[in-house]
Amino acid sequence: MEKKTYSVFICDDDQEQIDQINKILGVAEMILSDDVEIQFKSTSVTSFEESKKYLAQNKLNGGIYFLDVELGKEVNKDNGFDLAEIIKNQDERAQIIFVTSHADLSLISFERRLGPVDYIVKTSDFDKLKARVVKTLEVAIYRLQKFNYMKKMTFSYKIGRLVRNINLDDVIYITTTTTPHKLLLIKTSGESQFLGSINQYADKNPMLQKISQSCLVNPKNIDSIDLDNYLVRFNNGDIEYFSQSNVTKMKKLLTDYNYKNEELDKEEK
Amino acid sequence: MDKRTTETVSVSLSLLFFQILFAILIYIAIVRIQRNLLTRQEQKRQKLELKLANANKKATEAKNQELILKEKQLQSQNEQLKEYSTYLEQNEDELRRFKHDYQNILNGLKISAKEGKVEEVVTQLDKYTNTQFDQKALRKYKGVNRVHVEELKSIVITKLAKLYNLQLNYSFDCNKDIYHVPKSVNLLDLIRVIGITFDNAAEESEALIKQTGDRNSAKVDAMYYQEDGDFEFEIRNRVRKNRNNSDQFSKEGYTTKQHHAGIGLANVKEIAHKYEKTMFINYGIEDGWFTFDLTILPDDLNKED
Repeated sequence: MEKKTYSVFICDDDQEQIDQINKILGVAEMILSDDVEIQFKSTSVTSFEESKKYLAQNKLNGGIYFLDVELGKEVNKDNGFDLAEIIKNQDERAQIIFVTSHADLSLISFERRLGPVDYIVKTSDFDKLKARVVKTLEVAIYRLQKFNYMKKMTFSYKIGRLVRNINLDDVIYITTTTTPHKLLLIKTSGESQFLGSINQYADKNPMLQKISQSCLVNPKNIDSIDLDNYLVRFNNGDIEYFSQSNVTKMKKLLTDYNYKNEELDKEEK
Repeated sequence: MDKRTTETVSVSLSLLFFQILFAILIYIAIVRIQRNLLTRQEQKRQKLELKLANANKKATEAKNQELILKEKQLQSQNEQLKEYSTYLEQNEDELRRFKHDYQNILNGLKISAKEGKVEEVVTQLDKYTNTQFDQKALRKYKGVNRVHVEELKSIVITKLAKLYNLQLNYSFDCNKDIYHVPKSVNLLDLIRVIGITFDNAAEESEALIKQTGDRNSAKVDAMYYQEDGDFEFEIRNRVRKNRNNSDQFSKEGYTTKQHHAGIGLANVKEIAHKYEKTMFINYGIEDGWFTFDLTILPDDLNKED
């Protein structure tokens, strides 16, 4: 049977909590193994400083981390969040699971900057804890497996210092706006505004097609084309122009993706 | 000859008389007309004055109304801040009470522990923890203390109080002290946007709970953030599963009348449209969350352009 070993790192100032998680890891190995045998190799430390020291010497790749949020003696200093930031910077695929005593732990700021994380709330009810830990491990393993695939299929853009990633399939098209350098991204479930140029994003994303100086599209999300009037319609109903010089390219897309060829009408606003 | 002279004289005299009479009559007529004209002018002037007075009155009334509105706003702001200060005081009281209880409980536990009643110690601790530490009320406005812009603080306190009263799960955080926001955006507009998005999140959460029958299925998270002088606001909420995403949020679709969330979003976009150059809006549904976020570029960045 195929075997897969995952490195687990636990940092908690409560040794009992560490022991419990270790105990659950053993149970989880049995629960989560099916076609592939799952193994966890865990290391634990009890303070922020120890963690820093250990992580500096042992850089994990795609590790699973259980971090006590309320680590530091002072509020907002040397806590699990700070540790998670260090980890994310050295292990890109890191799967972080916060351990906290507050059910209303706020993760939104953290996730905004450093990507999705999970959390478990401390409880003395062992079965409840077990169920929760196993669930988070399952999600972590799933995310690790999908990571490489997801990275290739991601469209990233920047707002200020913030990098946002969305699934490439969710990109319908990107267009210029009346404000110079400001682009508008139309997604299957929303829209985004950010700074940049069409060319810059066309170069970075070979999957997307530039159909005019002001419009970059995801060919997967086009519904139909009107070759006579140089128009395309996307699957959300929006219609955009393509430039005359791109007719050949559009004809190729038409045959590759099997679009409808029909007369379209772009209402001018 | 004499007779003729007398005739001539009398004719001239009577002519003179008539002339004088005519002159007098004309004079009287002119005076009359002029007097009439004057009164008419007077009337017109008076009318104008009256209109002016009315307009002034209306203006004062409007001003008064504005003042009343402002006062109301101030009052509600004041009330929210009062609420917040009471909450802080309550928190302090709780803390004091805990310090006081702590010693007693510890003593009690020591005795139980010495007697080897581990089970009892654990249940006692559990009971205490459940009654004392998981009080949502104590963490009602967690994170608000680092917001130092009154308007931003006030709106978030109001909206968190609303979520609290609706018994929704929520969190708010602000990890940086915020003393000012970029001047390119009118604070009142910013507050309107924040208010609308909070209301939308609350509304969708309630609809979700109605659908699932589970209070814990809904969650609202929000945050303020500041980096290099910008201002960032993000809010997200769990959404119903059957929601037709592309319908609701496509370019034209968001104005769909039967969906209030859509209308709210349209209003937000209208406000944001005033700040094309400095305000960046991002929204969408992913993994069961509707996320809305807004970034206002720092002031100095715009000068460079």
